[in-house]
Amino acid sequence: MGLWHLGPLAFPAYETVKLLPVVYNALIVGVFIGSIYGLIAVGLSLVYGVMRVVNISHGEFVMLGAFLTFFAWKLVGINPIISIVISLVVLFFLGLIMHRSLVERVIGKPMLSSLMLTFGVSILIWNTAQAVFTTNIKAVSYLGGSVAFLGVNIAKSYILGFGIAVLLVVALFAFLKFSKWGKAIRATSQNDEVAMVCGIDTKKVRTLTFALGAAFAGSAGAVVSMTWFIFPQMGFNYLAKAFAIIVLGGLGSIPGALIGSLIYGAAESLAGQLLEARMSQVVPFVILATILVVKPSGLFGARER
Amino acid sequence: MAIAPLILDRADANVAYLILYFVALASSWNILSGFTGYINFGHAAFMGMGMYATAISMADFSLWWPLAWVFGGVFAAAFALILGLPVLRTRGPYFAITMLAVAEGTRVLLGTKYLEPITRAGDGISFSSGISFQTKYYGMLVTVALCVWVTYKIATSQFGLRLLAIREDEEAAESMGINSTRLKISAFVISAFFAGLAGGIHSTFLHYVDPFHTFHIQFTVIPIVMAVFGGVGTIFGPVIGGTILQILNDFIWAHFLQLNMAVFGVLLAVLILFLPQGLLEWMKEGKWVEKTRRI
Repeated sequence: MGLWHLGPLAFPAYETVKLLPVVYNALIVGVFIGSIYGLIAVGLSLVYGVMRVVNISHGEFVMLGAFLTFFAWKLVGINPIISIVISLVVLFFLGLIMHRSLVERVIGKPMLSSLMLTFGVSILIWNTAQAVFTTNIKAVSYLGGSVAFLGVNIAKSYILGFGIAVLLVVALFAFLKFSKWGKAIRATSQNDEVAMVCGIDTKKVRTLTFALGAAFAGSAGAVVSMTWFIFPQMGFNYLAKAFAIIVLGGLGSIPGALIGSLIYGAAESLAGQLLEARMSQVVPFVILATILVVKPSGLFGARER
Repeated sequence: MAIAPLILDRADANVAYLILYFVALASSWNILSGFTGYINFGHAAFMGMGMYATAISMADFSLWWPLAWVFGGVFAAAFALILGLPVLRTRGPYFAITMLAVAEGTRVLLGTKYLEPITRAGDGISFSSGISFQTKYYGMLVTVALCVWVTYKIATSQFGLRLLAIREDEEAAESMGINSTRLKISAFVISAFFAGLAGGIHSTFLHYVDPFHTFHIQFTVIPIVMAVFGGVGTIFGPVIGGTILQILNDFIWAHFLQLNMAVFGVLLAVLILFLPQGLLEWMKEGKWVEKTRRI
């Protein structure tokens, strides 16, 4: 084994000058990738904030949204951009049903119950998807090509993803800030007992929140299907990414999740450019480990009890 | 179980061997997660590290097989020790998902080109162990016996009580003067040792390791379902759960090959909703078995 096995890292001084444009490219691309991940992370964080449940099957919702878009496009010929809305609605109702029938039963029980329950659902969904959709890798080749942005070539699908992410996140903020249900969600997130005393139907709030989280994951899945390859077991990758992001931003914090997603996107993009492409899969773990060593409750999070 | 390989034909003896293997995994998972309540979703990582350590030490350094087996356990334990320092600072969902990422991260890491000179990346390692099936069978039996004995020792010691105190309320336990970090890491290392040892023996059974099969999530999921089914935090729960579910698993593999993981997913969800205490506690409540001090 020689030094070349270590790639560019073995010769830092010589490579630094050559690397600068690569780093710049990676950072710009990272913002776009990060925005798509942000869409997934926001849902996970919202659900955790309201009901203290980390939904392990969140990644599977992304996968379902992606495959829904793929089959709607392949079999029926529905435009993938319209499928973003379809995925959003379908996953909203799936989340509604899943919460009503399963998740609500373990609210207030030890963390073990909800983790194991959603883990079981996650396994059920991806394994069934494997049997039904086969394990072949698929993609929606809808938005090909790229455009120049700040001197960097960005795939059109990234730009679409960024636009959708901004649109949905702004809508979510407006909803949480101004609507009656949004206020109820925020109140429950702050203190569910007090919220209940104030006359908020916290059970309905939890169901709505879970359905919203699933809807965000589903719409992100539709974007993902136009951006990257999709396969039944992809869910875990996105769960790990989204989780790393919300740990970065602090569990339950939505602004934290957005900042976290941009940092994460940049880190992943850099790792993919500077090291081996597959190393980007290790990024969530490295980020998680680093943050948890420095500050076990996340960068912006309050201490968890 | 002790005379199984002598009286059964090879196919049934294989089933008995796999029962022991999964009982070892479930029982070792239980040592950390059952006692401390830290849910380990990355148990396959320790098993896989043990498999790789044994395979490499036998294939490249032609280590004597008993040493190679033990090396598998020791290597996994060392990995847990290094990993535990940062990872066990985290709690609840942080720990669970970090461990999920650890298992996935190790799989990717062992498959990258950076470690290719050692691990052969995605090609995996084929090797011949040159030991008989019976030796492996008894090796696994001894592993299970040791693991259950250690669990018993833990459950009846101060160490075990302190681990349970961490499960009930970690901050209260710490304020009582319990050094929770050290105890958790000890339990983590013991748990990883047995997973690595079982993995090491199993790698000589398979004669082959590669990142995809070695770190497959089924080796995390199935032991967890087994432990939950039998009773988390009990001594014999994982043994009973492992035995029953591995027989079921064999049936599932034969009839629903494609959906075998889905069946376990459903089973896990159903158990959590309707039998969260596990079979053993349920039998005690129904007076099927004698009630003892709950651990």
